Amino acid sequence: MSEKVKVWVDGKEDTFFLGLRVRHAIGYRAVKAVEQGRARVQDADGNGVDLDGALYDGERLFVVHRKGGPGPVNASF
Amino acid sequence: MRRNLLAWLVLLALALGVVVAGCQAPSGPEPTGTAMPLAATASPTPPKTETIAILHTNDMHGYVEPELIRVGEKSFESGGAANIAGHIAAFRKEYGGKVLVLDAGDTWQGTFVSNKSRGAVVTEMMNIAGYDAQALGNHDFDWGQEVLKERATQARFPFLAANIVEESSGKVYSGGKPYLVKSVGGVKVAVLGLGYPGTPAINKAANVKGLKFLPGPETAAQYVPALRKEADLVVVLSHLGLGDDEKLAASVEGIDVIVGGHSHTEIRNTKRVGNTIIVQAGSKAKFLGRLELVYDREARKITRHTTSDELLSVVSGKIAPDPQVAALVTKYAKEAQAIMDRPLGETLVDLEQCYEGECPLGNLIADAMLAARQAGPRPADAAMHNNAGIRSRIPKGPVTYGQLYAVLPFDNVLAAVDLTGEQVLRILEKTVGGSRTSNMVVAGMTYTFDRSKPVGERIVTVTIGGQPLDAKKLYRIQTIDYLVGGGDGQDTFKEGKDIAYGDPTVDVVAEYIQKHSPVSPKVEGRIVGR
Repeated sequence: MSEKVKVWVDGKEDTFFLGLRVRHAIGYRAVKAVEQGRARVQDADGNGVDLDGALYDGERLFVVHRKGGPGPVNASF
Repeated sequence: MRRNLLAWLVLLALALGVVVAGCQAPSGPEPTGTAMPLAATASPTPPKTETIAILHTNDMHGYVEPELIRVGEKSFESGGAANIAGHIAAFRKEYGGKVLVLDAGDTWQGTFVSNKSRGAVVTEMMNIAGYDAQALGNHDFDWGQEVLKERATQARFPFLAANIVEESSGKVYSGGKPYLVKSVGGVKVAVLGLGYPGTPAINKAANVKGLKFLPGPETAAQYVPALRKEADLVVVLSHLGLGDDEKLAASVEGIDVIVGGHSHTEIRNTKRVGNTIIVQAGSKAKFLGRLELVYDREARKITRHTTSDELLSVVSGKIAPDPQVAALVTKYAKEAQAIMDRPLGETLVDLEQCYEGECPLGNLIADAMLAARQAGPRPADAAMHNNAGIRSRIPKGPVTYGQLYAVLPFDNVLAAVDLTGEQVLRILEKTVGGSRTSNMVVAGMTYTFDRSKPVGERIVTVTIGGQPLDAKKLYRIQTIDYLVGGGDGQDTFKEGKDIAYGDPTVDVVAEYIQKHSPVSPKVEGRIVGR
């Protein structure tokens, strides 16, 4: 099993150590937004994914702002 | 080779009419189940179809206490063991007992109340709720195999892990079973358990010593054909993660359902790959999955199943929480609170929150991290922790675990990686180039910087182990998982190699204070800059 996994966050490819979690991939500001209920993380099928979900190779994550919010959280990153 | 032979022996045994048989060596552990001779379970004229339900959780991570959600003047509970157990009881009644209750692993580690009891509170809840089986996730090994066996003894249901074998014998790990077969409403359901194959790479070596974690698809391919003959339905209880569950479904024929975990995915509308249904119920006891299956006895297949709204949000108000579980959680929570209040030791100096550069509290944390990596085959050369992750202060006097938790509230775990001197230099450059709170506190190393110099030249001197930094040399750096994931914009950590995870940082520092109390860390010239 490879030591690293390839993950896409909002379409951007990145590589992480095996064992790291969604919170490590999406960045601190997005984590805060999720924790404060202003955003959620989804996979490619639109399923919600918890911040502590284990990253897996080929995973595609999207940070989506709650309806009525100021827009995609990652837009300002 | 030996496995193939065993598989044939199993098939032979099945042909001779053995209802439940081990899929391992005859001397190995027998699968657990409540399979009964058909004559005892089947009525003379069984209905053409039978409706059963698989109720499932995964990645509960010790979240036995509910979260209180406030909406205006009103509030309700989200999650929690008592609410989960209440929902399971309600469904059990609704389906006339024709339910299978499964958990896909990572069950105990993650909250103070559960960690303190090494998961005993969760297993007790699962006993009360009547779980039938649990897969073994990577975190279920976090406290070593002795604790895992204690949980196995406590549990009134089996831990399933067909792909976790003992290196010495090749048999399935003795704390688990490969599978179970259970009659649910007269439908024989085989449940094959698969643990996370990457566990040795992300857990401490001592915790998985003597064990081999085999790939999921290869293991399933060995078991499923025999289980297919023995049972009406084959379910895989998996901690592989959604990506590998999809690959498993695509590569191994004959799996009706995969109940998954590890990726904490909330699959509200069931996923289908080929003829296999894949479900997963988020995490942290916030959801209970309910997969209703209509099994046609003549066609010998599932003719209908839940396709949407498979997840039930576990909230109070819908059903009565289980009173026995509620009392259990209250008892354990009180005991845990007592631990929070317990003094770890004493500090002789005020430990102020770090904002920039070196500070006593930062030195204490970094020293504890470095000390934790001194035992074992690959001791660390230095330790680094971000100032921004230090979130509170501790005044002079007794230090409690609760105070320390306020200082390190992020549940980070230690992570050691190999980095070159050049990479260490880039990390430090980034450190002094960002916001003031992005400074790194260190142990086993020193650095000086000058912010007035051009970017790339701001780090003036670096020493590790008392020697000048060698750009080409490989150093073992003890840090935290947040930073090796590129936190604080520190992408260079991600270039590291040979990662080894450790204990939660807060627990490591707590142990250090207990061992060295009274502590009196001071600023001693590890970081000098302007």
